[in-house]
Amino acid sequence: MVKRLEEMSRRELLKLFGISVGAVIADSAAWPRNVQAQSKKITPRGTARNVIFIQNCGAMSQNETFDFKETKWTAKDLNIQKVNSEFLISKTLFPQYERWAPKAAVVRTLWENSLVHFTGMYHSQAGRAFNPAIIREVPAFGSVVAYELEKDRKPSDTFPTYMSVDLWNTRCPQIGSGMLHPKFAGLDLNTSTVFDSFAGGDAKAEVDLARRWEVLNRISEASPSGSGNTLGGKADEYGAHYEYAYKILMDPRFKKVLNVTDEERQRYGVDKDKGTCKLGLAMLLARNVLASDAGTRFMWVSNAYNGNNGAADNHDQIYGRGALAPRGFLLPIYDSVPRLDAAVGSLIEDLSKMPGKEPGKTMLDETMVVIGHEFGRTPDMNLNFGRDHWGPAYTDVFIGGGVKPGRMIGRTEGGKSIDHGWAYKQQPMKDHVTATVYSALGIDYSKKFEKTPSGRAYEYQQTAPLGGPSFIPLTDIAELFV
Amino acid sequence: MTGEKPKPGEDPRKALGRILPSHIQFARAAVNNVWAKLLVVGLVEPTDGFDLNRLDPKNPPPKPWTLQPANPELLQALAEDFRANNYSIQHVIKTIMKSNAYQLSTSFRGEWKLAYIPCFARRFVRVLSPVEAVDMVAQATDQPYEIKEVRGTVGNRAEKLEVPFNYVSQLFDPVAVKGLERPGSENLQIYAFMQAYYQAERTTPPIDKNVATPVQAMMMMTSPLVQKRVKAEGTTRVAKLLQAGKSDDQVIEELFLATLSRHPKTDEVDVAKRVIAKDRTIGFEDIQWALLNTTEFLVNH
Repeated sequence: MVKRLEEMSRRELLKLFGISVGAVIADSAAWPRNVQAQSKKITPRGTARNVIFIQNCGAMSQNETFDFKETKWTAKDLNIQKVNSEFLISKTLFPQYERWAPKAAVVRTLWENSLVHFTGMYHSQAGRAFNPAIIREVPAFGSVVAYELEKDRKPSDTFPTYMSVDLWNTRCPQIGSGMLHPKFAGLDLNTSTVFDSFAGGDAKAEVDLARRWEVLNRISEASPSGSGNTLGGKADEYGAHYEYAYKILMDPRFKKVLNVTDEERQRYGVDKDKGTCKLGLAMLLARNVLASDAGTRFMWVSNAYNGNNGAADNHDQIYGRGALAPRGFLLPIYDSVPRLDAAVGSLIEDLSKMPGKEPGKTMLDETMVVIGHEFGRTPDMNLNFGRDHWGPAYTDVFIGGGVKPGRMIGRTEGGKSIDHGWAYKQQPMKDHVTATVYSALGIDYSKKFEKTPSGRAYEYQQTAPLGGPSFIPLTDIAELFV
Repeated sequence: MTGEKPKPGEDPRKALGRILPSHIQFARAAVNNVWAKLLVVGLVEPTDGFDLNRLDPKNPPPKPWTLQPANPELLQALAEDFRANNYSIQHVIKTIMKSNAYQLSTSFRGEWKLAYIPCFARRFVRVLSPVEAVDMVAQATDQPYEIKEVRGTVGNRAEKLEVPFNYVSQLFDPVAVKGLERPGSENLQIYAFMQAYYQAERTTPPIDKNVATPVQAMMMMTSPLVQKRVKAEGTTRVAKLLQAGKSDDQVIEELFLATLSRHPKTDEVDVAKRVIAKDRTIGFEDIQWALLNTTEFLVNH
């Protein structure tokens, strides 16, 4: 009873794909097939060479930060400053705002229908809403970026196109490459262990690794299972991954990525950071990875702090200090925001001083930095003097990579959009942030994979209705660039 | 599923326990879970995605629908056998393990085709689980961990253990090793290692963990957990074998047995002897390291 492939159900195919992935897509061009552009004519902007996407885990309150609104609950010590006529910011929370805020553009009317941290983070990472039926085949959108930019890779490139930092310690860890080849899965660096695990190697460690690599190859050749190729499936994949890993470990640029000075630690706020995952280190790794020009173009940075929902999940005592300070995984806004400010400010400052690939351009000119959130926080305080999850309007920040500084897109009142700030009737959504990243990198976000394991077409930018009857407009957020 | 309701005055929980197994689907789902655990792939996939209208071979669904299980008769027979044997999980495990399908090799002679998968024509290889991976390194090198404290369930505080755990599999919750780093402790390194294998937290949804990645390779090649354990120092397996004055053949034999659970082949012994020719100690360290990094060690096969 041998079933022909076309007789199998979608779900059977999904599982088959999962266990035989090595055999099926050993040739990375073999899957997915039938990549097609949609009918709408899209010209991606191509304004950025790189993207750093910062997932500000926990959904930091926009009310105190990027869409400041003074209410009867607002603390009196926030020392509000004017970045421009529409951008007010707290100098108490962002003492170093002058290093990044004038370069920033802000979208304040983003709408999210799913108010759970996991699904919000999944939506950000996958570039589409969570759907358990097809979870196996959906790649992180960073993997799609890697798939698209594969053609630009040079023989000297050893780092994967898509890398991440501290994604492991978030509510939604690595999604992986789904239906795409495992080499697009992304390499996640863990700020709490990466330095101990990989930075310690001196010249002797490299000599040792090279010698052992030789021993491994000789033993594998003599082994009855060879390099694993008679085992099939997952064993085949390991062969490819070991080649990849060895090249990275032996590349002096990887050691350089992990070389962080005391001055940098201090400037990025690392030493004050009490989290397992230090945001300043994550930013330094992102900066160093891109600066090393070793093949990485898309960096995902998770502001994970101590895991769970992240440090900014301020349902209780958002202004709490001393005895009233929130406990466990959380930080009061007086600690979580300056921590972000120090790391982002230093990153933007450094990128703006580093030369880009093109003459006359800086790294910041060529790198789009996005600060993304799962959703927003309620405009009113709850009984615990905290703010709960809020979908009607939340804020993301965009800097560099062709983004026009000072663009303030959309206006809100009482937590709701009173002016979406763009050309469409619907509010912008995460899917448009995804399309914006694709577009900036020169990727046609209207493309779709027609042939997938489930049989459902995979759109680079999701357009299917989500939480309502309307299709999601197929567009990037053009207003950021003009 | 049966439409039955609790009897008047009956404890609803007891009623649920009585009614639920009375439908054959309970047995089908249970045996399918055991089958999937033992053979990597279930007869119905995903294991929590049964379509009750597509299970009965005597009453197949109208075209273009097809029956859902890879082998509907087998699933039904296993389910009925499970029920007839008082829902004994042990009985199901024994039955499956005695089958030809379970005992097949991962090696497949001839050209492998995707369409053979539902026939279970070979053993499917799978990536180690996070706990398996980290514990196997300790076991193969005879260098158990000393987990002296774990993260407690209350208030996220450290709990000191009177008797240290030697393996992560001894912990009720493997995630408990996370976040407690003291001088000389390996807690965080253990957790980082498991993270490379997609160790999920209790509160996170399951991500398909049967995924091989370059980070796993990087960890196995350079993690301090591994580096320390392959050295001929202290009480590692290599150190003890060398201290015991064993012959080259004996040491090679024991390293293969402890790491790959098999004897070395002649060609492998020849390679190993060439490796130790220059420096016996470094050579055996390198062999131990290489064996941990062979695909044979890295996957369950």
